Amino acid sequence: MADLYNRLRDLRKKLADQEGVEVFRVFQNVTIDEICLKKPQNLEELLEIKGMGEKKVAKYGKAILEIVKGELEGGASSAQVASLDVKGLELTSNFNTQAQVFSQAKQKVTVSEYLEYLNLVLAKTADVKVVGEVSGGKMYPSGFYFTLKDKQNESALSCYLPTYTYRGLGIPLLDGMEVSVEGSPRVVKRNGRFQFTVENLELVGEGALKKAYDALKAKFEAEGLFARKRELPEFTKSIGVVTSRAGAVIHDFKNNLAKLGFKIYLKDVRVEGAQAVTQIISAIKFFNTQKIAPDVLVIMRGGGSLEDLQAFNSEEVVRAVFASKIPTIVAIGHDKDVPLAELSADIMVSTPTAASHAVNATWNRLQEELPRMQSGLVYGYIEVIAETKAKYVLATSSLNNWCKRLSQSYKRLQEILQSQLSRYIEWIQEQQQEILGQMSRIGQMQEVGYKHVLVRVASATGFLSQVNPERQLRLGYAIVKSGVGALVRKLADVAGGDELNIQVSDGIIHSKVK
Amino acid sequence: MTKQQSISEQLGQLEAVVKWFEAQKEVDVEKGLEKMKEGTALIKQLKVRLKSVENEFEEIKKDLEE
Repeated sequence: MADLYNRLRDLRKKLADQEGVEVFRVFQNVTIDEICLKKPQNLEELLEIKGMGEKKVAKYGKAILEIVKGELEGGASSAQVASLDVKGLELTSNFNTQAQVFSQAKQKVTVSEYLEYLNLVLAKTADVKVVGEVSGGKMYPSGFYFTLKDKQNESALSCYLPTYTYRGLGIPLLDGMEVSVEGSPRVVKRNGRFQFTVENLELVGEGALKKAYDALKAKFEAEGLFARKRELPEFTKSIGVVTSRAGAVIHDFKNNLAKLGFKIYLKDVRVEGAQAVTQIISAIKFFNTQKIAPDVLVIMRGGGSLEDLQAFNSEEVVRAVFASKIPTIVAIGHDKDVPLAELSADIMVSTPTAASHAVNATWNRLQEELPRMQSGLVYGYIEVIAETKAKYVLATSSLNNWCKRLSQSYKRLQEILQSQLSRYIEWIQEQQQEILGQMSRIGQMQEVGYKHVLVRVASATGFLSQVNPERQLRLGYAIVKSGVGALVRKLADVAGGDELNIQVSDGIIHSKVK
Repeated sequence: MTKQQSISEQLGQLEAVVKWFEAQKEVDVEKGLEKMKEGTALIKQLKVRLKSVENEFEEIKKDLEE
């Protein structure tokens, strides 16, 4: 069985290294113990093992079952161990019965085997919360060691708190603090001492919590974690929300957001209890490591007592809020003491409604200034138009005046022209009269000349009629022409045989010279 | 728009248009009309941003480290 135990531990170490987490985040010692005891052979049986939820069975189940199967098939190397395993398997229901069976067996076993058996038996008592006061606490590299003392008497429980778990508390454990612890009891093999390994620790009572709260608050104030306040991005669009999906908080937040097309991404986390701190931190880291991170991170929880709000007073959570690159709003309902995570946020409010309003307010500038600018634009333009109109009126008026002056000038010019024209017409008329007079004189002169010409023409006509050849022909004279048409004036002009044309008053006589 | 302008950018542009009107001494009515058109378009776009749009809600199911 020791082999199985060691192989399971080796597997856990390997898986933890692969995932980069603490070994007990893979599965806890008590789970290994129970697997060794029950040797589950299928996933259903494995699911019944304490600490093996559905997710872990899905993730690690196959590897675990293979190791268990190998153990069963290979058989145990020691008959005594096998015998002890059988006894162990029988010790499943009742502690007293287990002890009785073991005591009756009277078998010889090694110290190691006995302690393994003993631890299996002790593991069955682990499902309790033990309440007591912290005493003699000391921090070592491997973890925080302290004694849990009973308030009623001197009873003491030696406790060990692994470093990771201690850091997850977020507060320093001081002597006198009342706490409740869950975990697994076991006898440490190397020294035989009894030790209670604490897997979950919660502060009990307002006094202890208040003491831790005040100490952390003073520490953070000194570090300046509450001083830095960034503004939310203007016109926020996407919101990462870290809260529980159950309850009214997320609904109140959603219902009070303005309808501006916000994109809300919820990461459901436990907001109290053992897992709250790690889940809240993981959610903050998740949003901060997204390629497209939300504009704002809103971390919320409903109201509660100081004890209920312990996760939001955790050092780890406060530092995670402060380290967020995304501006944060933390809204935690509280009475007197403001949760430290809220103090470290950029915007601290106490209700989801107030958180919604803070996000809505990032749109105020647009909502308030848009109407103002619209008015400014309209009035500005009206002013331009008005000024342009005024200039137009001025220009029109000038133009009118100019036109009037032009009209007057035209009128004067017209009058001048009219006056000039009258005189010109008068002059024309005078000239016309003059011309008419001249023409009349010319006419008279023409008439005298004409009569004179007529007399001379009549004289010439009388003369011409006297000398007209045709008159001479009619008187019996003739005109003799040679055959070639030349006038025959004397005998020398013709020769014998020449043809002669003798023109008389009524025709031509053709003859020939003999 | 190839790259959607942010609301801040649009508001800045609108502010610049309004200031242009405030700063004008020599009025250019054509330029004024151009600026008016620019401002009106910006107001229209910004009003769309303020229009009631349902918010979207999504629960991230990815496992967180435990």
